[in-house]
Amino acid sequence: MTNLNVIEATRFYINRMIEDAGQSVKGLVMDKETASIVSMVYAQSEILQKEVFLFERIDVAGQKSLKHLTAICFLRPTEDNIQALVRELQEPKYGSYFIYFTNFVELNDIKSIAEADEYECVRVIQEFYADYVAINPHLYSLNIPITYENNFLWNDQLLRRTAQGLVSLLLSLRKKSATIRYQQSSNMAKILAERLSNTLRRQLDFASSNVNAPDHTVVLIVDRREDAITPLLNQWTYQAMVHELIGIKNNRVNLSQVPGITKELEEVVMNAEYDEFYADNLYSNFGEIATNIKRLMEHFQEKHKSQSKIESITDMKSFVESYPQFKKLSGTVSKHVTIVGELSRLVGIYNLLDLSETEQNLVCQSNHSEIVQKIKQLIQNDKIRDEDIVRLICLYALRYEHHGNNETNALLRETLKCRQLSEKYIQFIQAILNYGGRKFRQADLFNTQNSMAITRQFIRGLKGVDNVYAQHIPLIRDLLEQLLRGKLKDNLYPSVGSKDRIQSNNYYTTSQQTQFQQGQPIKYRSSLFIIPSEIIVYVVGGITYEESYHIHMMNKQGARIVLGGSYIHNFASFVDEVLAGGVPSTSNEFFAVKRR
Amino acid sequence: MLPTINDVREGFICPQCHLDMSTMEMLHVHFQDVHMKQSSSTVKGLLSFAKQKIKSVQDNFATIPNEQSNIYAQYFSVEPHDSSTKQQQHSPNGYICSHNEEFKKFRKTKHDQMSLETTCLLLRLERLTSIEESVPKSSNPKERRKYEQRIVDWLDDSKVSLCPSCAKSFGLSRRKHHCRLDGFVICNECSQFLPFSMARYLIEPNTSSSGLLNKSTTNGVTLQRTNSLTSVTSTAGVDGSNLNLKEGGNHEEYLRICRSCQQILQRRYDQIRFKKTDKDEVLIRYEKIIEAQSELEKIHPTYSAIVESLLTGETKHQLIDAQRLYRRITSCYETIDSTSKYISKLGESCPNIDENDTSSQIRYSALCRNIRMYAIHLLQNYSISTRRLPSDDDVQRAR
Repeated sequence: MTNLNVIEATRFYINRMIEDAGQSVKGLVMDKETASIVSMVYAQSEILQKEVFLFERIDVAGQKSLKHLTAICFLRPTEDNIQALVRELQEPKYGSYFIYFTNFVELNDIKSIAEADEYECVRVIQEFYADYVAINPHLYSLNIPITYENNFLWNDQLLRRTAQGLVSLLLSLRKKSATIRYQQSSNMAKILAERLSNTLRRQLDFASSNVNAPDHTVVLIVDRREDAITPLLNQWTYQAMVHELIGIKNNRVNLSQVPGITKELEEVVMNAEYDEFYADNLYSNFGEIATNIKRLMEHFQEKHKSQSKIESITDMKSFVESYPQFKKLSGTVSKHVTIVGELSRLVGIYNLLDLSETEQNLVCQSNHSEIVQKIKQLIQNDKIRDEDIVRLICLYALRYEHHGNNETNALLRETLKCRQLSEKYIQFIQAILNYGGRKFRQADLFNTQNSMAITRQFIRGLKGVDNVYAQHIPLIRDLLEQLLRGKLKDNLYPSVGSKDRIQSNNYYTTSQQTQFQQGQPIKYRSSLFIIPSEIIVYVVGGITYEESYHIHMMNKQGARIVLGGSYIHNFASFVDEVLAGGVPSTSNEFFAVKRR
Repeated sequence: MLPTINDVREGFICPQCHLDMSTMEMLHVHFQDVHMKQSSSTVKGLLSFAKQKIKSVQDNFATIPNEQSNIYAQYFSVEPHDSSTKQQQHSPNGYICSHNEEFKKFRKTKHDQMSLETTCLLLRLERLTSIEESVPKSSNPKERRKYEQRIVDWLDDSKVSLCPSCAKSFGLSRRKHHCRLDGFVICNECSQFLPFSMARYLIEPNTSSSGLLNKSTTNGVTLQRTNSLTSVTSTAGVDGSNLNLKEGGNHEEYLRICRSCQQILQRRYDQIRFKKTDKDEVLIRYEKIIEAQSELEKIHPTYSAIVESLLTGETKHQLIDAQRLYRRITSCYETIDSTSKYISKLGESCPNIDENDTSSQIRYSALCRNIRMYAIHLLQNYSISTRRLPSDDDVQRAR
């Protein structure tokens, strides 16, 4: 069974666009967002091969025209873009235009464009649903750095953009219908789910999802607030680690801060589709990467040595033949060696091993007094960065929110005694409980709430941990496992339009319970379970590379899951996201300690 | 509570108490400590026993790794037409929605309406600017006016007290005039003056008289500038316009028209110029590259086949054939290389682009640079796979 691949889906559209424009000198006209979309799945050198020689933005004002060139316009259907397109057509810079919108476009807009096309340049106007950024085959994002607004409400424009992104994801994977399940406790998730369902129904004439259809997609919409700990943890797999410590934006890594960096390595592109070493090591942990890179270096040195011994014509010939690969290899090697070198330098100076072990123990074990001691130690340690102390304090606050001896205030006081925490971090600590604390979240993040979870935790402890830095398992994985086994409770994660469901032999149902409330029977059907053909996850508020790693592992074992979110967070961007949701108004006081 | 018979339950269910344990290890542990009588009642004993059990379970699992590797596959449904389409697309193609039909309809309606207006004006224009002897010229104003009024109905000017384009009132200093093409009343300031030569160009863009107009804009092979719209007319006063061509001592005939007629005619002019644009030099050269490339594609495989057969001692082909093809191949390489070099030089010098128009220059240079990169890449790919031409000795040795 072919696996879902969002990168292939986007590439399909772009290939089609370029083919349709035919044999001529082509120019690609994009807007800011579609430029990211294209650059993530296509390298410039590859596009150049297809005779696309110009890359422009629609919003840059008119220049001299180059008629006899073909323009391939790939735009989001926003008002600004339509206006810009109308202006462009009235004074065309190109000879012919092939217009592709990434989402549904209204009839009036088509009319305005048609009326502006005085020179009859437009040959084609179509909708190609590539409205999201594809990062890995199972991972997508909408590049919205901050989703929340004050009081955790939806901004209209962002809601619209998100719904559009999800619809286009479904259509690009050739899914017209889906069961949409959302997190009941999150208002934002609910609104998004309903919006998505309405859009699908309205645009494509599909009534309630045809439950008997064998390929049944499940869309799961959850809120980041349900699991605020995953973005707070330090990571040890290659992709995740680079993002946490240095930062990856649109597959680009800015290395200008690395001491002794050469000019050409100041900004590098890390794209698994074009970089074999990276593709193999995306999910390897730090130890494995070090071994692999050593191996790569040895391989490279061998090749280099053989290159320098050119003695005969045949040698020269084989040199020339293998030169391009050699050049590419040397580029890759220097890039990865630099990055891994920088990562290990940072691990050393920030004492990350010790820190990360503490983080993981804090989240996965239950030794309260021990952990408080450890944190106090680390606060005193100068090598540890302020932001890492903030991480620890937030993790502690979330973990021991209702603990009898909650020491969050004490820890914070100690920190302020020996460090100058920026205002932003102090506000963040105050905001994190409001964001992801017990009051909001339903999930049992620390396995303390029911006997099953406690036992599970117990077993894990007994087994002994093979990697103390990877103990944590993000909530999303547990949710998905529950969903697959039909155990994701309907009252916590209902589906949109679950009232009208019909039974068929494709299901297996779990127990039906009838509850009586005040004499009236309320039929409570627990998860009418349909075997999904794939699962598409969207997290309002962003995801992390750690979660992507877990989904990747599940997919390797036969799952068909696509994960995505509004943004891919690291600690820094997560702070901004949380603060956008609103800081509770506790002025000088720290937060009240909740007592059971 | 025990479930009813109708329910089907799956998973690791304890046979005794029917509680669901999610995994194998948990089931074992649960079963051991709940349902089996243990001799050791201490917690420690229980723990160590549990540990042993788990280890043994893990060992079991370690020997059958394959079973673990696809544990999630069971939870997903398989598409029914899977086997038949195995050979087909590897990845599903996304949906596409086309709006071409509606677009063309909208555009056509607009165009039809516009061309109706334009044609109407052009017909009148033709009659008004005819150079036949019988038609009175501006040298004979009275006759001229009568002639013009015969073609177009002039509006009764007593009804109009304000100029429709600038809304200023008519009076002693501002006199009423009539647009020759639609008969409306305009003041002198708002009048546009259309030279007869331009009018003739608009009516018939392909005749040689239009050579007059071409002088100022096209000069062999240049880029068109549609954003510095050359105006078809000049405003009040017949000097200082782009297209004011005073041919010798002959003064041009002008036609007074209003702004709206001017806009319609301007559009017509722009459309004509748009269609007639000449190809930029870059593109002409690029076409040469494409020609050379397609020739390479044709010859190269033949060449490789011939060389192969020569080196393996076959006598199907002669060395001369290989040599001939090799010469052609190298000449293609030469063409591609030199043309692309020339293009990249063009990109640096940016001819025909305004000095101040830096954005256009950047764009033009980027285009040329990219074409050069494309050519280099093409050459690299081909030259790697081109085999060296065998010499006579090689051929002899092979036979």
